[in-house]
Amino acid sequence: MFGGQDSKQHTVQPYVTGTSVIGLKCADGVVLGADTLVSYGSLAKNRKTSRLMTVSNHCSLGFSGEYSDFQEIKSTLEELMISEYCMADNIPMQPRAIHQYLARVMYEARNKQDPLYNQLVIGGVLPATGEGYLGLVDLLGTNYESEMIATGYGTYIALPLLRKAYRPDITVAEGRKVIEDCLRVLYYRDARSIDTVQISTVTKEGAETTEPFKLETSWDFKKFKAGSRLIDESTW
Amino acid sequence: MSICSGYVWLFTRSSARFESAIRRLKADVFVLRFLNYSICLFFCSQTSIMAVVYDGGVILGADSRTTTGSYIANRVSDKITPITEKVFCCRSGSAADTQAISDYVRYYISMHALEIGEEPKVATVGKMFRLICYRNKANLLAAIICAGYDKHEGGQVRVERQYLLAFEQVLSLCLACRSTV
Repeated sequence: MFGGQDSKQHTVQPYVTGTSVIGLKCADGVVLGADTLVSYGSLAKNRKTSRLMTVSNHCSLGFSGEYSDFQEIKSTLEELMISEYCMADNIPMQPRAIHQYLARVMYEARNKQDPLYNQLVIGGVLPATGEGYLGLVDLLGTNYESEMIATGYGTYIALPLLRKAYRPDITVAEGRKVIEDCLRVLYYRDARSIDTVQISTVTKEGAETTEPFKLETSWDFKKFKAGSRLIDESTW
Repeated sequence: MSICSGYVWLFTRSSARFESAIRRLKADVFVLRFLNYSICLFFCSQTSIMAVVYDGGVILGADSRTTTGSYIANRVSDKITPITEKVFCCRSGSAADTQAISDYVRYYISMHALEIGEEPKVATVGKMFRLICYRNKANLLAAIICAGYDKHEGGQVRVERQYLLAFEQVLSLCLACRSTV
């Protein structure tokens, strides 16, 4: 009745989706950023969803892709964190461990031809040293670790900007500004995004996700403000 | 360019004119009626354009986004285009098609204005749009609102469409079918 062996379900396409998530590894932590929109095709369905999740004190996660599959992953991770807590061994789970765990989960679902239709960005710090860790898992189970990560339109638009801004000694405060700039460009150029965003920073002190805030955007173009004139050669 | 479509809900008071406009629409409309009101659901392009007649003239409005699929190709596009000094048009549909159409109309109407020696009528400009769009309908994806002021009939809005809902006196909403400007 609840699915499983008798009903063969194959996820063919996502319905309610989140757009890009971006992340940057800094010298003293990581910064993740995402907007707060889930779309239903071209409809902006929920403009106040949180696409960033704090997994543990040292790890944050952002999703893009199907919202319902992320909700499954969220409860799976919460169960994982509860069982970690119950072990009571004072050994916090490394972000790499969470990353690889999710990679297994995604790969297993993919092998059943029923993928969890998400690209997940996992950002965390090594609890001992405070060194940042940033990785991606996608719906096929592809997983890798990098200094800068982006999904969706972010790979085309934000990743070059992140690569340009990256320095090995970049701080979380500077990284936050870079992420915000990238989110702004994504809002300008991705038709499935909005200007309300959230930024998650993970440092040795802990993981925190900001409240959703509105990006400042600029529409200050001379010709745009002036409007078309009759003597213009053509329209645009 | 890929095709994408969205939805518009319209909630309005029913009237004979409204009902006849709805009946003229062949497809892509879903109508709920209760009491004196009707709710309609239309397919529409990503573009929102509108024009309103008021005492003294017309006001035209348009959004500024041009997309190729879900990439915003131009976020500051100007979809309100002058045809003459007192007649403008709002363009939606394929950007290339509507630009070409409005360029042609501007050219022919400027000739016409020279011939009659005065400002052309909005009706004439609207008719010119219609001629071009109708005769080339197999090759065009365009829905254009033509609005302006002339001294004979004041402010007017003329709509060129494949799907149309018109309250000519008050408000015109133009809905292009399955296009991306």
